[in-house]
Formats: sequence, structure tokens, C-alpha cells
Amino acid sequence: MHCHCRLPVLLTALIACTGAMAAPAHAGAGAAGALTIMQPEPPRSMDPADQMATDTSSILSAMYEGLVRADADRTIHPLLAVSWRHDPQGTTWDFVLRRNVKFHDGHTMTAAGVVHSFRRLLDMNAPLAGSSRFRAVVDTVTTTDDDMTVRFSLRRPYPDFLLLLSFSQACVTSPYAGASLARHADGTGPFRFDEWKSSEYVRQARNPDYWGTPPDLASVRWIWSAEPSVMDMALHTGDTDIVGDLPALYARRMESDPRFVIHDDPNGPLYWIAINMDRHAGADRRIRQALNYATDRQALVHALLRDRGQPARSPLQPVSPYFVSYAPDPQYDPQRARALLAEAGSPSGITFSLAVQDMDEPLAEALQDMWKKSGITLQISRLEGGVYASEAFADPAQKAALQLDGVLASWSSGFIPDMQLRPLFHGASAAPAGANLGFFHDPGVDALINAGAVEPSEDKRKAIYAQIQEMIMHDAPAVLIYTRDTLVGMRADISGLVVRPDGALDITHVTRNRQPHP
Amino acid sequence: MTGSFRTLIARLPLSLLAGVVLITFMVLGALLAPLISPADPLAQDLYATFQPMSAAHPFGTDAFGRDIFSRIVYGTRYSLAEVCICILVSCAMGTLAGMLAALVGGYVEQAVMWVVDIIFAFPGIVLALLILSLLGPGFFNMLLAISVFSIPVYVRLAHNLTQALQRAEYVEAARTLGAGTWRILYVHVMRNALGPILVQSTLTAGSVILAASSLSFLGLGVAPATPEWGAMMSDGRSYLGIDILPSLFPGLTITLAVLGFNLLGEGVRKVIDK
Amino acid sequence: MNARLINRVLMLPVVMVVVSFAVFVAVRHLPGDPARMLAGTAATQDTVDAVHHSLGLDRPALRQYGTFMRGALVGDLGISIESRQPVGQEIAHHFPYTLLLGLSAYALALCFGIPGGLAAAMFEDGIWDRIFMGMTIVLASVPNFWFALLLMELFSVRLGLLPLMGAHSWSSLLMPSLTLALMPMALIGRMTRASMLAVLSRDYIRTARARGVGLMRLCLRHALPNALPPVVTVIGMNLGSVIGGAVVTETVFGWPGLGHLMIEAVRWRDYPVIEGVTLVAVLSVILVNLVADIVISRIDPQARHS
Repeated sequence: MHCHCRLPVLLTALIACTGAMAAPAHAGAGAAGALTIMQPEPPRSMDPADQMATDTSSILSAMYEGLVRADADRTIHPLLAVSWRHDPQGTTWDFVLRRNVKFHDGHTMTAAGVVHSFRRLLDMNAPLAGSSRFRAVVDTVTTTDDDMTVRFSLRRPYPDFLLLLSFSQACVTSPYAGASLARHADGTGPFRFDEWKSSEYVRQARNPDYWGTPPDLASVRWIWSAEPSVMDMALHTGDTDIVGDLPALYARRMESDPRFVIHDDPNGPLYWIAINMDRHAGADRRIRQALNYATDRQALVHALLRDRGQPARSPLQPVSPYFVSYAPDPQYDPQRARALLAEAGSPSGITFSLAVQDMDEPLAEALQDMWKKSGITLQISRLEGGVYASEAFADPAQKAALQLDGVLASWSSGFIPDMQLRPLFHGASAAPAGANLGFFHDPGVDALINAGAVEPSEDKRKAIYAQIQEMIMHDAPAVLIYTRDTLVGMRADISGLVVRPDGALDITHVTRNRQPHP
Repeated sequence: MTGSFRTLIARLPLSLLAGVVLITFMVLGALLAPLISPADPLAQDLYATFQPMSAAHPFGTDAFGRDIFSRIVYGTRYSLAEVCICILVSCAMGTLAGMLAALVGGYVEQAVMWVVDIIFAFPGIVLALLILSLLGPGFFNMLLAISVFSIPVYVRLAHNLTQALQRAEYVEAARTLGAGTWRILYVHVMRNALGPILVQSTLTAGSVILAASSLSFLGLGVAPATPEWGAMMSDGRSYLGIDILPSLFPGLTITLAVLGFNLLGEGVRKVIDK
Repeated sequence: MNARLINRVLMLPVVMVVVSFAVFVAVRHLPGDPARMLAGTAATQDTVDAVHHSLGLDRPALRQYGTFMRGALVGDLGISIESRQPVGQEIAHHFPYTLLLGLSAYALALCFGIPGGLAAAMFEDGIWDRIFMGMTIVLASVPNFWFALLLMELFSVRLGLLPLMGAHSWSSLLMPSLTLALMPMALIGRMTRASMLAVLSRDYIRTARARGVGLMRLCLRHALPNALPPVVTVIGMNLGSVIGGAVVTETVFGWPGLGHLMIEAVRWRDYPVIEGVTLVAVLSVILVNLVADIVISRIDPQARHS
């Protein structure tokens, strides 16, 4: 008899559920002045200095501002600083601050506040995740007699200091925010923090007290999904207006659709395999060259990036003004690879074990079959982010214990050659100290990297960096694979998006044209 | 009793035959994979990705230009091994532990059921996630993880069945006639509990392949490039909007395989019930 | 309530301590370092060490466990490494979503499974039985992430009927709960059928049948109450796997539940959150199973009489 009465109850409940379907389905996207942006990853923090993730930087760049701003072509513009000067050595920099700038909490920005913001970056007692780069360069930050001037004392001259200041970790935060900054953003930007619903969205609203031109958008919502199919579907359904870091496969299909535009930014990360110089495969230059000859970069760019990228011809990205392409390019030549292996005493081929982060696994999978043709057996250990980071940054002894011949890694330096070559190829950056994951060490390269970092003359720097690139290409401590374009998929009525040199999206000047489209 | 109510047919049930045929196909596929498949399941052609169905590629090609049909044929080996090993391990260990616990009783029973309760309370995939994160990914570690979280179901099932059967008159009778625990276990309980346990284990067949697939989805499945059905579906999901073939065909194959195991189990149950 | 049930209630705290210790040990032995995750790949080792220290991860493991347990006893599960929020608060935010999702998935599964299984058993080997069994097999062999993506493509992209993802209206609940219901649907359906068939072959049913009791009345009044206990057991037993299924389902649909939280926590090695979510999940499963057993002891005519 229970069954007679229970089923209808359940049915009623279900009908009630389906009744609720009539409720408005798509919130946010599509409304006037509102914008939704989808990215692969959720934000890590609302504190710009306590994160190193590009997706988080994108969200924060709408709410925070640095002293200066860099365009996609790396030209520097004033932002919170109106002017600056430095001494002849380039170690003392004074920045004159903009007046009448208010933080979102209502306080006025002063030199003392800015100093407070930068001192957090230098404080080793409460270390912030994004502080390494700054501590390596900046010694002290102080106020001066003038209450609107901030003075930076650098450890050494640093020609790209302004570009460094444009990175989101160097954004100015309110001195009154305190510990709540991790969850509640408080900056000077054109949008103010509204709400962060964990695992759901971050919402921002136009800042009515903004010092500059107010943004066109009234509100912005950031959502995230790591599923490529979901990214594609969300653009089609209008659940999002912009997809950051769209997979190349979908971009290719979308570009023929008039409802969407693809923003293709060539300043994407470089992918390479750092060869462990302490193990058999890395110790012999012929084997390292064989690995390079076994790699068909053009095919990889075609299949994995759908031609939205470039085969690597240098340890610098092609967009870098210091990039030099070396001829002949590392050609695909399995015959030559086999010959080199035989010369090195392994005529029957070698086994190469590679650590790969899970999202880069397809690249390793493609290499596996490709290298087989040259007699190289690739053993892939696919690792999730946390494990990957600890194995990739393991020291020589740990890597020997793990029997790791190489690490597949990617790097984006945002145009600063010193931030690419120093961490990746300088002897002092050998893991775990830095990202020289294969323990490459060449005193000549080290000396040139040091010289390039402090060289004020642009022409001389170009010459130095060209020499470094040639030396690295010649010695082949890595299999440089390709640079991947950063692709942003947008609905066609959106314009004004900027991809900043550090890869973050800048939506400050995004506008929606209200033109009707199918 | 006759009529639409319940008929016991005096011939081999159709389901058993169908199940045997399907499973035989799988076994043949596993054994003769090199003969059946037109291509090397690992050979890539990066300039011929996402090809449609054709004579050369009956099921098309995947994101690396590999022949999907060949991968499915080779995948039979992995999926059969998965199902057989996981069911054998979890079913044998679980059933034995559960029955013994119920028959011996006392502290042994309490201890066994206590451990089972604890393992049980872990959400399966979370348990597998922890096990695989500790041991590292790999085919056999994955099987171990899936087996571990499948065991408790059998322990409880066998325990409950045995308890119920112990109350049954014929077991009481056997006991009074002086039959030992092992004999009761073997002759009476085992035979009578086989039906429900078989039903559960044929269900496990499906869930093992699905669990493998879910683990691949979470990045903890088989080694990259392995032609395992679950992993193929998981890989194919990223290209769903581009080409459905790389995940559709492994999916259909999984359904057929699960169907085969279920029909087999259903058929065996009918034979035993007779 | 019998002695065994009381025993299990009394053992609950002991179980929780054992589980919490096991999870603590397992989590701390996971390869990977939350400090490295937090500081990013570009960080230097001194930053990583400093972050490590500020998280208290360089203290002896046993002392860390002591701190954790002392907090857990008063309901404080620590602070999330990732979000810097109290873990209890994170769980309180995500738990209702998973509860809602799980309940509606089970509602769907019961609505389909019990009547379906009942009908299949009543007309064994009939056309409906064949269709039903076929359906349960198909349902039980489709990976849920794949089913989820197909649902999204059909109902959101093609038909534009349902919101693609997130949790902003009741209609958002429909696709995730249908996805999550796949496995329990098949299971409940098959168990109902198998259990009904077993009951229907018993003597008292045959006798009742011989006395001329109608099929409908016979099944619903006499057989079903006796056939339900195994179904309830199976529901309780598979709760863990449904929570597991929620991990995948929530990830695809961006549903802000515990599964989503768990995956993020494992990915970022957020120790306190992994421990907290696992404890809550384990506790829920144990409690639901206890309730299931109590329900069985109520509805099972045999258990009631003995």
C-alpha cells in the first residue's frame, strides 16, 4: 500500500522541477553592457601578487592597475604613474604617481600606499607566490620627499624593468585591504570586484569612480571550463561571449562562421623538451642532435596546432625583437638521426623517458610514434600538475633516481629575453633553483646572459642575444618544438580586446556593437 | 506453474547463446587482433587526422591519424583483461570473505564487516584517485584500484545472502546432521548464492570498463596511446564538436561488450535456477 | 533496532578516526607539493620553501595530524591552501549542490527503475522485459562524461532548451541529474526485476496466485514489499559510486558541488580540502547506509517478524 501513495508524491516533485524550467535560462550573457568570458582555469586568488596563472591575471587585470601598461606590441604607456626617470646606471627609478586615483574601498592612492603594495612583494616572511621575479631584480621600494613619487632601487641594471612593472603581479593593491585580498579584490581598475562564487563565477561591475575613461561594459562575469567541447558549445549557445585559450581545432572550424571572430595572438608559449644533461641521452651531443633530427616540427604544428603556431627555430619566441632564426632549420631527418645514434654507440636505438604534464600529453603522444621511426623509444610519464612540477624541478640526484631523461615544458616570457634565456639556460638556474630543467651549463652562455641583462645599448644586446641563440642551437641542450599562438574566440559583435605581453586578456576597452547578427 | 507468469524452458536460454557468441567474438578479436586489424593501432599520420569512414579506415581516423577500427580490435585485449581480472579478484575475494564472515560469526564477522564498511564508505572514484595518486598511473595499478573498490559490494552481498540462507531450513537441517562449515559453504550456500552474485558480477563488467574510462577522464588511466576503449572515449570527448567517430565507435563497442557479459550472466542464472 | 545497528552507531566515531588517519597519511604521501603548485613553475626554490613554511607543511607530520584532529573535533577543518577560506565554509557552500544533484538523480532513478523493473518481472521474457533489460545495459555502458556532452550538444546547442552549464536555475539541474542517474537507474531497475522474480517464485505467491489473486494486486501488495529490501540495500551500497560519479558529472557541467571541489583540491594538492571533503563524503555514506539498514528492518516483513 506504500507504493500506491509514494509514486504520485515523487511524480509531483518531478513535475514541480520541470515547471521550474520556465525560469529564465541564460543569465548574464547577452544582456546589454554585460559580458561573459570563459577560461580554462578558475582563479587562484584575488591578490595579483599571490598567483602566477595567466587565467587569474586576466580576471585581475580588469580590477587592478600597475604603474605602467604594456600594449600587445610591448610599447609602454603611463597608467598609475604619469612619468618616470632613472639614473644613468639604471638602478634607481623614480615614478611620479597620478593624482586623484581612488581605490575601490574609497581611499586615495598615495606614494605610501604604492610602497606598501610593492613591499609585500619583497617580504620573505609572508612570501607571495608571484614575488620571485621581483625579488631577483628589486632591492628596495621607498617614498621620497615628494608625497606622489615612489623610488625603486634595483639590485642591478635591468633594461626591461618597465615591462616587468606591467605584469599583473606588480599591480597596485590597496594598503587597507589586508588579508581579505585573497578573496576580495581591491585595486584602482575600471571594474570593481562584485562576487566570487567558488566553483562558479567571478563577477565584476563598472567602477563609477574610475579616474580614466569609464569602460563601455556595465558588468563582466568570468566562468571556466577545461573541456574543449564545452568551450566550443558555450560560445555557440551564448553562455559565454569570449573564450580565452580556445583549442586550435575549434578555432579552425569557427573562423568560417560569421557569428564568431578569432583573435590570434602569436605571443604564445614556447614548447620544448629539456634534455637531462646528466644522463646517457643528454651527455652526448650527437644523441641530443639525433633527438632534434627525429622531430618533425612542421607535422606537429599542423596536427596539434592546426597551423596556428610556428616550428621552433630558436630558444626565443618569433615575436621577440631579439629572435634570430638559424639556417638550416632543425630539419626532420630520421635517417640522419639513426646515423647519429649509431655514431654515438647506439645503433639499435635508445630509450628516452619523458615527464609530461597531463594537458601537454598529446604532444608527447605524437612524438612517441614519430621518434620510433628514428629508433628512439619514448616512455611517457603523464603527470598531473602538482606531481609534474615537483618532478620537473627535481635536482640531478632526484632525476637520476626517477630515471628521467627529459621534461616537456612550456614557457612564456612576455618579450623579455632575460626572462626566457636566464631561467631556462643559465647554469645558476639549474633546477630546483630555476627552470633550467636539464641542468645545461655553459660558462660562455652564462657570461653572455649576464652581459645581455645589463647592456643598455639595444644594438649590442641584439648581438649578444643572437650569439646566445646560436650557441644554444649548436649545442642542442633541448628539443625546441614549437610556439603556440594564443587563440581567443569571440562573438562577432565584440571588439577592443587586448592580449597583453604576459598572455593575460585585457577587457578594459571591450565594446559590444549592438548590430543584429543571425 | 505455467503461463505468462513464469516459464522455465527446458532448453538453453537464448540469452546464454547470445552472450557466448558476443564474448567469443571478443576473445577472437583479442587473440587474432594482428590478423583482423588493417593497420598498426599505434601508427600515426599527422597529415590524415579525423578522416571519415572509408574502405581503408572503416571507422575513420582519430586526432593522430590512427586507424580507429584497428585500435578497437586491439583494445579488446585490454578490456577483456580488465573485466576478467577485476571480476575475478573482487568477486572471489569479496564473496569468500563475506561468506566466511557470516558462517564463522563472532569477532571475525565484526572485523571483516567493519573493514568493509570503511572501504565502502569511500566514494569509489575518490578511493581509486587516492590509490592511483599514491602508486602512480598504469594499467595494473588501475586494475588494482578498481578491484579494491569493487570488493566491498561482494562482501556485503555474500554476507547478507549467507545469513539469509543460514536461516533457511535446509541449511539448519544440514547443520543438525553434522555438516561442517566448509561443507555447508560449498554445497549449500555457494550454490544458492551464485545467482545474485553472478548478476552483480555481470553488472561489474560494465562498471569496470566505465571506471577505467572515468579514470582516463581524470587523467589517471592507462598509458598514453594505449588502445583501450575507455581511454579512447575519454580522449575523443575533446574532439566531439569536430568529429564524433573517435569516441562513438569505442562507445558502441563498450555497449556491445557489456551486453555480452550481461547476457552471459543472465543465461547462467537461468540455467542455475532450473 | 537490533544489536548490530546499535553496534555500528557506537563504532561510528572509531571509524571516523581510522578513516581520517588513513586519509591524512594517504594525502601527505601523494606525490606533488602544494607550495610548488601555489608558487608556479617560474618560482625559485627559496620562494617555494618560504611558502611551504608559511603553510605549516614543514612541521612534523604527527603534529600536523594532531592539529587537524583537534580542529576537526570542534568542527574546524582548517584553512584551504588554495582559496584561503575555512574548509568548513567551502564544504558548506558546495555540499547542498551535491545533495540536490544526488537527490534528484535518485528520484529519477527510482521513478524509472522500480516501475520498470516491476513490469519487466511481471512479464518476464516479454517484449517490455527485453526492451527494459536492453535499456539498462545501454545506460550502464555509456561513460557519463560522454553522455553529458551529448546531452549538452542536443538540448543546449541544437534545441536551445536548457542552460549549458552552471547552476543558475532549476532547469540547470536537469541534465546533470539525468547524467548522474544513469548508473543507479540501471542498477535499481535490474535489482528490482531480479528481486521480484525471486519473490514471485516463492511458495506463498504461488499459493496466492492459485487462490485467484489478481496479478496486479499480487505484485504490488504481496510481492513488492518483500522484493524491496535488496533494492534498498543496493541503493545504500552504491551511494559511494554515485558520489564518485558526481566528480565527473560536476566537472563537465560546471556544477559547483563537492565533486568539483574535490577534483580541484586533488589537482592543487590542497590537503585540508581533500581531507575535509573525504571525511564528509565518508560520513554521509555511512549515515545513509545506517538509515538504509533501519529502513530495511522496518519494511522487510521477514526481519520484522524474526
